[in-house]
Amino acid sequence: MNCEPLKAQLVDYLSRQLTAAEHAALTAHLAGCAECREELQAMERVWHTLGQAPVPEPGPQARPAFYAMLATFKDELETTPDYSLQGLWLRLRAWSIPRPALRLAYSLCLLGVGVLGGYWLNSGSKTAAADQQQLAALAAQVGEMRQVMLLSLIDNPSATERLRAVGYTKELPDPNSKVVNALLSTLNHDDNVNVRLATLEALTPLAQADATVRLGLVHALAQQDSPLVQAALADAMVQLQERRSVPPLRRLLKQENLDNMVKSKIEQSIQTLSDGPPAAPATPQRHDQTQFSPQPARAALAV
Amino acid sequence: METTSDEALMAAVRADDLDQLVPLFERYHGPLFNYLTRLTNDRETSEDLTQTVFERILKYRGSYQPTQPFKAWVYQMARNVHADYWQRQQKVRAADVDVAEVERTGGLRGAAFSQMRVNNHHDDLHEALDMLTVPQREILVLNRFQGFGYEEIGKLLGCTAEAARVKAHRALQALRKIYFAN
Ligand SMILES: [Zn+2]
Repeated sequence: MNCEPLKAQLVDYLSRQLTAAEHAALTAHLAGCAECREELQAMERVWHTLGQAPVPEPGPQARPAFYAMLATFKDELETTPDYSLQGLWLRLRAWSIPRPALRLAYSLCLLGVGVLGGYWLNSGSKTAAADQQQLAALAAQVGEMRQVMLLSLIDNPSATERLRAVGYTKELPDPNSKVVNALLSTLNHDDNVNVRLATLEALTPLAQADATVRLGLVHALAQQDSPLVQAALADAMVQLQERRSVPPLRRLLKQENLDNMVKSKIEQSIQTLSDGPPAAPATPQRHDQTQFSPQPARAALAV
Repeated sequence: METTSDEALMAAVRADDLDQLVPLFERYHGPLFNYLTRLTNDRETSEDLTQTVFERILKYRGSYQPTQPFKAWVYQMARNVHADYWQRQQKVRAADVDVAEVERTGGLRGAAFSQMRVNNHHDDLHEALDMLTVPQREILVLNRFQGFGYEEIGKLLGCTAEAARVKAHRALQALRKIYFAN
């Protein structure tokens, strides 16, 4: 009798993967075949020995190493704009853009980057530099499209969408004046406090380099009624060392029903702004002056 | 308590919610380390390789199709990581060992296992395992230690379930011969 097909079932017998019928047939054959019984015994021993081999456990450093790696990836994801086709596509999908035409335009722009990117990856080093240049140009176009997207979303009825639009500011290295105006308008007129706060947060870094934004923020002081935004604006003014904000801040102090916390925050801000930059080394003389004049008007007069 | 499926977690990772990799790490880093250690017989190397697997999961998360079983996908990745490592080892080895010697002992044998540690009463078994070809050892590891059925093994190795079954049988038979020859 040919034992080979049955011998091939021994592993399954050991790992209990035989059907009931197969199992019965094999058992019947084993009863009458010494050679197969011997084979089974030998296999069983190997199988058993294998099973007794100690289970290797990962060392204690595996987990910390993993978390460190994960943190690195998360940082990269947050800080670097992802120009890979996949990254852009994921963003595109996450945006849930309301206007089909815009979506189409944006997709076509992405397609351009993707095609060229693919071409660039496939082409040799000869043309790599030129193609990289073109890729950068297309990436700039994507930046422009982002501005358009921001403008289209910032009037969305959903506060979540508006927050998302404001969030795009971070990804715009050089927002145009339309974007800046839209953001300033949102800061002054959006009825959601969170959106206004996020807008202020997005505008403050821009104000470092952009005089329009700085002035916009100064004027915004008079427009705010939320204590949270008032306090955040006062903070921003200190951060920017914007002395022109002192008069509007003083006017805010005269407002009725001004929150007490905001009141002391504004007083503190006026004080700091009038004293000059806190980081600047203060001469002893100036320090004395400050002490003797509790209401310095130097900065306010300078405006 | 309902647990989120591997596939749902990986789909979230794919959509840049990287924290969802944490539960997947908890579920798989043990088994993957186990698998790689049994293939390489080297703890330190296997720890590195396991880390590399998770690194690749993050790097290539976009290539995961939510319809495919995560387990199959991640083991495929682990196989590739091991294959890359093995090839590197092969090159290092070829650089300082007579190539003819490698040829003679069989291309798939031994190269990665020169650093094997023989330090306990399972020495014989390790030695026997090390004398198998990598594909033979792999199929035994998958079948005996990783709880893979023939269907899954077939998918992973790119053959039918039946072929996987035959291979598993032959591998065990080869091991038996080596083990009992000593
Ligand atoms: Zn027989």
